[in-house]
Amino acid sequence: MKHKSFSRRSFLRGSALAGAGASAFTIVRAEQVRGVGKAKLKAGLVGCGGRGTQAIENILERNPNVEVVAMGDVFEDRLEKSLRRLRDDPKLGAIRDRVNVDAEHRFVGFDAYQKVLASDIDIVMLCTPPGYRPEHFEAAINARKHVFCEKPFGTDPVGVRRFMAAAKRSEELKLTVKSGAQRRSQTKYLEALQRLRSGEIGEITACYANWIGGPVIQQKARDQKWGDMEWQHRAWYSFVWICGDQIVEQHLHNIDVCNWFMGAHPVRVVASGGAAWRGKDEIYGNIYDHISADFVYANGVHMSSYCRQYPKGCYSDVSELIVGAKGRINCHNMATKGHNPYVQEHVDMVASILGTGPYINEALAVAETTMTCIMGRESAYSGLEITWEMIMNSQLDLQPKEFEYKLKMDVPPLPVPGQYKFV
Amino acid sequence: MQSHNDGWSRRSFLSGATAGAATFTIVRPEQVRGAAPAKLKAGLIGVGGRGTGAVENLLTGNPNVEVVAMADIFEDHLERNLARLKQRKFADRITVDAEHRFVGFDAYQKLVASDIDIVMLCTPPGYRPEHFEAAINAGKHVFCEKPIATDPVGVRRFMAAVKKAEEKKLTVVAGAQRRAATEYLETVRKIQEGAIGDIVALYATYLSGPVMHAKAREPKWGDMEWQHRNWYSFLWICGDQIVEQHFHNIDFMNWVMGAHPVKVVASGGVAWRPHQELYGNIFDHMSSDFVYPNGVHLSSHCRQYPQGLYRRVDDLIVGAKGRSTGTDLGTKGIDSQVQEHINMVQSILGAGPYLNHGMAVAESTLTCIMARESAYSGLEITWEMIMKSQQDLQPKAFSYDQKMEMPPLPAPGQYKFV
Repeated sequence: MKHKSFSRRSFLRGSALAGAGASAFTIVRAEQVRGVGKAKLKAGLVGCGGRGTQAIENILERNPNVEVVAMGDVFEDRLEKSLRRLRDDPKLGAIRDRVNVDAEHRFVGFDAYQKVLASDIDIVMLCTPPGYRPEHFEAAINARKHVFCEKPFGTDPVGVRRFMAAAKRSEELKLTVKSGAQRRSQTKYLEALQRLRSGEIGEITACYANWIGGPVIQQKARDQKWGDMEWQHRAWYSFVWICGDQIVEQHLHNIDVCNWFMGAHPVRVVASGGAAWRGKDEIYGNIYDHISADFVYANGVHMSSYCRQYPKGCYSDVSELIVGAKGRINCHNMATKGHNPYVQEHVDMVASILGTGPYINEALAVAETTMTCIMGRESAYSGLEITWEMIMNSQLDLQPKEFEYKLKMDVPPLPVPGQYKFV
Repeated sequence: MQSHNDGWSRRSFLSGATAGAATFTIVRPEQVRGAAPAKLKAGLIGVGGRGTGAVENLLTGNPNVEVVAMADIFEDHLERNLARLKQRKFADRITVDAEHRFVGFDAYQKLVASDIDIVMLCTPPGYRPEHFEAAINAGKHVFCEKPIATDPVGVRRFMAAVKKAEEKKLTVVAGAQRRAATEYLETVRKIQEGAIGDIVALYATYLSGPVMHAKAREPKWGDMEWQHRNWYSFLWICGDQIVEQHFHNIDFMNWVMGAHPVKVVASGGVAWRPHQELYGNIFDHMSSDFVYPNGVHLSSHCRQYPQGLYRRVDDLIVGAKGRSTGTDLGTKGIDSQVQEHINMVQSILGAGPYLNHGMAVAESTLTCIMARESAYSGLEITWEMIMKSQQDLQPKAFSYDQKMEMPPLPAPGQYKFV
């Protein structure tokens, strides 16, 4: 494509569905725009589990100019399994030739993420369990990489504030940050937002967010050869420090939609929850299995949030509902289907990096949503009303101080309101 | 109290008044004794804290009523609270002689068979359907505490008796005192007239503390006595908090909407209550997403958490053009718990509109039970499902020595909705 940046820029300024909050396009890596030839981008993956492996498929599917050249994981077996799948799955023939992770670029261990970032990549994909996100994101920004950043953006307030500080830097540096909150790239949500902004349903009067689903249990049992730290990585969902609990890890998607559509985060919350069916077996760790939260925005609008992971056969529903003064939107009954959002989000990201699409940086927005979810969790755990000010000043830092496979790590007890101390 | 000579002029005055006032019927013609006001006799079943309070409420607002009979499972409750009432300023209208103090599981039957006009049903709620049915069969007017049952079979039994009460024109006033409170009445009327526009969202919150009637189990108490002394902790007789306590908010919401919800998805559990028999088998928190026939959601949160934690009891009605707390468009009148008894007596005497709240509070009770069963089972429960549910929690035999296993705490996925 001939380098017609001026005419493209003026064309795009007038385009309709440029997405909420599109700023003027900036060529962010001038050396990437190589004139007639397509720019080539190199990506590295940190966290080679199910989500990370799929993210590689997603980024390569509709970005022919991207190749993956580095991978890092705490566990060698996970990294190898990921590469095998990318190599062997017959459905992935179209992208296989752009997975070029040679032996020198397969990094294993707790410092693997640093080595991925130190290699010659343009984009880093942060797909580990969320406890690590703030540290990884901070390092990625320091290394001047564009980031595909899975959600949530942390599991505790100290971590999320660390993330927010790096987020501000990323904006200053005009680095692209695309989150794994894929609804922000999903056509029917973009359409719903447009209809909202056009006044179709009047002012928002109430929001509802549901993730009523099933359990995420990654291991049937603990292998005796696994030390505590390895166990809590292999079965990470059950441990608050690395998972965040469901409201942070999973329900973020729905709460993010509400914050996005409201253009704000809530100012306070009262929540309740517990473990209604999860037993005392160590595979269940120390997370709740249901939390219901009454969030309130500054203008008095409530967001009724219900999340749970209940056994098979129980009711399930994952959805959002925005009620206005003159109507309602459920974000699903939209006309246009659009592309797979897991793929679209990478198209949008790469366009942002190359300056062929609007500049995208979702870091602060989704960090605020992550903090919103943590605020709800802490309210349920403690039995207190938690305000935004309280959570932004909270000193809760769940992360271990050292990292080593055999590290002894006691699991704090399941939080009991009245005993659990909000810090 | 006005004399009944004014009946006709008052009726025409009142016919312009409040929402839903029916034409007045003289229900007990023998009561209308010309110039002198009628005297009414009341009997109390369930001589606990609420029962004693209800007697006070009744006698405070109605000088021509006296309490002549009492019934309780426990002699110590009856004697202690009767003595307490005899210390109050209306003691002269508490004339419960020795032959009218009934103790035991059949005490309620003896009371409804005695010479009284009004029965006050103030026991723990598990018994309500049976007591209400007996009172209506005996042709008595009823003050009936909420909730009106703890399981769907009981609710339907109550509903059948309500229909009978309507046919016999027996007055039924329930302990849903907001329905007698002027600040609520006026606000609801204004909302229904459009003061805040179409209702678009509802919120009901009952975040409070634990209700424990006993500190510990005494060794001499058999299972049944224990589950009565500490009734709040046992599902069959209490109904759990959403039914027993959060009823008030949910009944109010049904009143505002003029309908009951059609379905609900709820979650809850035990976050802090220890797994000891003192704490029984009820949950300590429950959050419910109700949906009304027109699609409006009611977000309900109730819990009983320890001292020091966040508490709040309130409601919020959000309209297209504004919002209301449920009372902010009205002015407070006299104590609604006194007013409701005044309204009841006026209904009985034909001096006020005929009141039968039975079906409304039965539906509200069932609304709460619907949510509870959803939280216990992990299923979405519809009105149709709960109206057909075969759940009957009541024991089949009653005696102080009755052995009663306590069912386990419900766990979603294991608990069977029936």
